[in-house]
Amino acid sequence: MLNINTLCQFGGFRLDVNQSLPTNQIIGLFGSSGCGKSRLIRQILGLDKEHRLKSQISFNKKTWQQSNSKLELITQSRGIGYLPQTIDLFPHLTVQENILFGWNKRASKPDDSIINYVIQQLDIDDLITRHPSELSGGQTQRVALARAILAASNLLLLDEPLSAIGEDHKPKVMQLLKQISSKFRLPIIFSSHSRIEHAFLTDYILTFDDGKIIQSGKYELVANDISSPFAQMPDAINCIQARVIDFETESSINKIETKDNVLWAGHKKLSENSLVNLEINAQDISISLSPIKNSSILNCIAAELIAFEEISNHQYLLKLNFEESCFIAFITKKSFRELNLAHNQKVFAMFKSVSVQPIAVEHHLERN
Amino acid sequence: MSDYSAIIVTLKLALTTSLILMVIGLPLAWWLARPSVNKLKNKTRPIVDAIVALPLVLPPTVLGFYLLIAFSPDSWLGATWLKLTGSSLAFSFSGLVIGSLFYSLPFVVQPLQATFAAIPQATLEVSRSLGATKIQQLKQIIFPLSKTGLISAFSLGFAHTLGEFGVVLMIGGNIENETRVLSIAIYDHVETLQFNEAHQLSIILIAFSLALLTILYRFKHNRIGFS
Repeated sequence: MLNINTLCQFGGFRLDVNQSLPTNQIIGLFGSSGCGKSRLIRQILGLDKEHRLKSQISFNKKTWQQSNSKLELITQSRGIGYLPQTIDLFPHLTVQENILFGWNKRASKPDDSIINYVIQQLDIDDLITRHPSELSGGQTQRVALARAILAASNLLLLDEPLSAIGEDHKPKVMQLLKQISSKFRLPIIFSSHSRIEHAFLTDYILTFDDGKIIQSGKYELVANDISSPFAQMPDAINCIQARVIDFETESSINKIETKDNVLWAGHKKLSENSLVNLEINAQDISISLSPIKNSSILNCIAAELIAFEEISNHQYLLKLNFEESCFIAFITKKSFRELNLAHNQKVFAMFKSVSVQPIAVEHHLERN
Repeated sequence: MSDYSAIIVTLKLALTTSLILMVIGLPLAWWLARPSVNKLKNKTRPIVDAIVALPLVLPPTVLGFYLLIAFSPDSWLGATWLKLTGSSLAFSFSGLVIGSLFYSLPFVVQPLQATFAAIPQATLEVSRSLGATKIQQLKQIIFPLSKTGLISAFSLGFAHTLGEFGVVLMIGGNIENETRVLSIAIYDHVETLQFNEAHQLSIILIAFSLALLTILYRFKHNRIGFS
């Protein structure tokens, strides 16, 4: 367990966190910018000492810091791999020297093969002789991520790890983080305001607001609880697992199947039979009482309304049961009334194919 | 012959001074350059900054005058020195070194301060999180990133001490092989109308200083973006 009990004052901003976190999974910090995610990460690192009013942190029963005692495990000895929000590669070192900076200082190391594996997965093999000034923003972030991963013997702290990484690299990077976490039993704490990233990575989520944790728990529980602050934020995103059947060349669209339904999404060819996560914004789903034919909307699935909640004076949040999972839709209060919706009602959820973001879960990543 | 010894004394003085200043200047510049939330430090820092910069604006004679007083056997510094070494500080090479340390201090501390201030706090935090000890930080991050600043500081301290005149005149006098430096030798030649000799020494000093500064600036331009 990672036990955190910290109270810090930064000018007018106060960070107040008292939380016990599991150390065998990926912990996601969610919230808008300036809500305290980075500050909490810095406390776990042992930084910002001067702002502490109280700060007790222990990691797997080992005390890292304690407010009423001078005894504190220095940052260097905590075995943390840290990726700061503003990336700072060492400009005088090559990419390779940067990547190995923390690795070379580690007391305990796994097998060397992990170095090449991380380098390959982050697609930086061709960059290792370069200097940081010769890298793009996305490349810089991938190098910094490799450096942090290889330095982490106890814990990996990632502050917005995917913010600058291009869409084409994101699935691979997220997959790598999942593998690293499970294979090396390395706990990861990452911050992000992107729901897609949380839907893919997070096992245990902390939702922040103004320096406080307003909700915490297993991701599925929090994400599926329609009264939760997490679910009610307007950019709520659903994530459905599916498999690609084939690519219809003449209209450039992928045919994708879930357990009982066929969906259409993505104008770029996805490899046949591959697994994908379909991300659909809750705002983009509309509801009908009967299946619509002769419409330009390609996706229409049968679902059951299992819960609803009035979340503002003009909007309702619906929780729908679809096959074995749940998803969330936002509709106007007007539609909700006119359709006369009720619990356990059978409805049809519709969404345009352009509102579906297919994210490939690649096969070859399974090899390690 | 006496001109030759003046060159040797000058080089010896410049080298000793700049080496000692590097040792004193490194921690001082680091302290001045790095941000802090310590209230006492933030209050005292401008005062220390001003003291370091003082020799830039003060006539060397003022510095020399007070050093001369401090060196006299009546003052605690002069008396202690006399007790410890058996010789007086005034009109000695050691006295010159002490004078030059004050006089050239800003030329060493200020470039170091600028180069240290340019190292982002995040770089140091990341290197700490990656397990670098203080010594490793210094060797693997701070020194390599400050290379240009370190070279500038040493060269400027050296070059500036080469051209020292006012302070030397006040506290060093004109003792051959001991305190007679180039600038004093040139002054002497001019006073006695030996213009040829004055030319020779002046040209040596110009050529040497120009070469040193050219090398320094070439290095600086080539490494732009690194520090």
